Amino acid sequence: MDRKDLSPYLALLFRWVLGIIFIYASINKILYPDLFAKAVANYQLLPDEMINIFAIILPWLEFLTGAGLILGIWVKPCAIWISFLLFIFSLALSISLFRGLNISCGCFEFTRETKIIGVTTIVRDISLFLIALYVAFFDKKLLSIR
Amino acid sequence: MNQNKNSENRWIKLLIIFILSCCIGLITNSLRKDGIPLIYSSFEEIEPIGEEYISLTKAKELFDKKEAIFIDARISSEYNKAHIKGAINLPFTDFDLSEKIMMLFEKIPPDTNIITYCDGVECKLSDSLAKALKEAGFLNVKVLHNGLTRWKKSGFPIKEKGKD
Repeated sequence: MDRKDLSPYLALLFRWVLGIIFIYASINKILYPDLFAKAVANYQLLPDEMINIFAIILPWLEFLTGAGLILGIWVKPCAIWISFLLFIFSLALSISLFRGLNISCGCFEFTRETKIIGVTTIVRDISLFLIALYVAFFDKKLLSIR
Repeated sequence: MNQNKNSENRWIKLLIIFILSCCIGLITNSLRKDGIPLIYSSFEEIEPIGEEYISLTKAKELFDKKEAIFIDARISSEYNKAHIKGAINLPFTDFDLSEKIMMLFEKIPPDTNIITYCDGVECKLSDSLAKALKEAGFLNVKVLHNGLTRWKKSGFPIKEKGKD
């Protein structure tokens, strides 16, 4: 059996993994928008006027695209959005690390002490970015609603 | 022609997902009691309340009058990249912190105004260092919460690596 035969199943597995990660990531951001806005502000990348709007919209984008991947609704557009988000996150983390900012990621948790950003955070996001690209290219609509 | 139509459909779906996220986000934010304002307010919002803290305005006043010593609580590599101009470095995580505090105690009077700071809303190094300095006998120690970020954002003097 060549690699191409396995790709739809691998894409399905990656869809579910990414979908769960993104839905999980969105939960605390939806529950605590003020803390997420502070986490976004810490990166010092967005102008003040955009921070709260970003903090309000991003969690729902994560939630909807995560749900889309799990349910198999508009999988490729959801995977494209997730790839884009992960690319942006990796870039933001890299810039912050380069600037020497001692901040936490703000990726999943804000309600207790979290680890500060490091190279492993960037590697993690780049890996997820590659997984999302795989889904965007190789998904064959297995177990999909649409 | 089919490919063009597929591509067009994909763009439309991408746009619909984004618009849906915006609508749900903005509507739920407006309906909830703890919804956040649409415009982020950085200055007032992160000024913590408590005797142990000093406001950015007051800290700058003391800086201008040269009436305070600023102490950076972060590790040396962070300090070397950028710090408040004139600040000394006393990393809270150093294994010989107690010795360094005692050395400082021998050099400066215990009623000297001391302002500790670090970087980031969640950074607690400055709070921990302030506590250690007070326990050592310093009488006027305050914490500048999220010090470096707010100092830099306000355009106050910073010493950065490679820049004078």
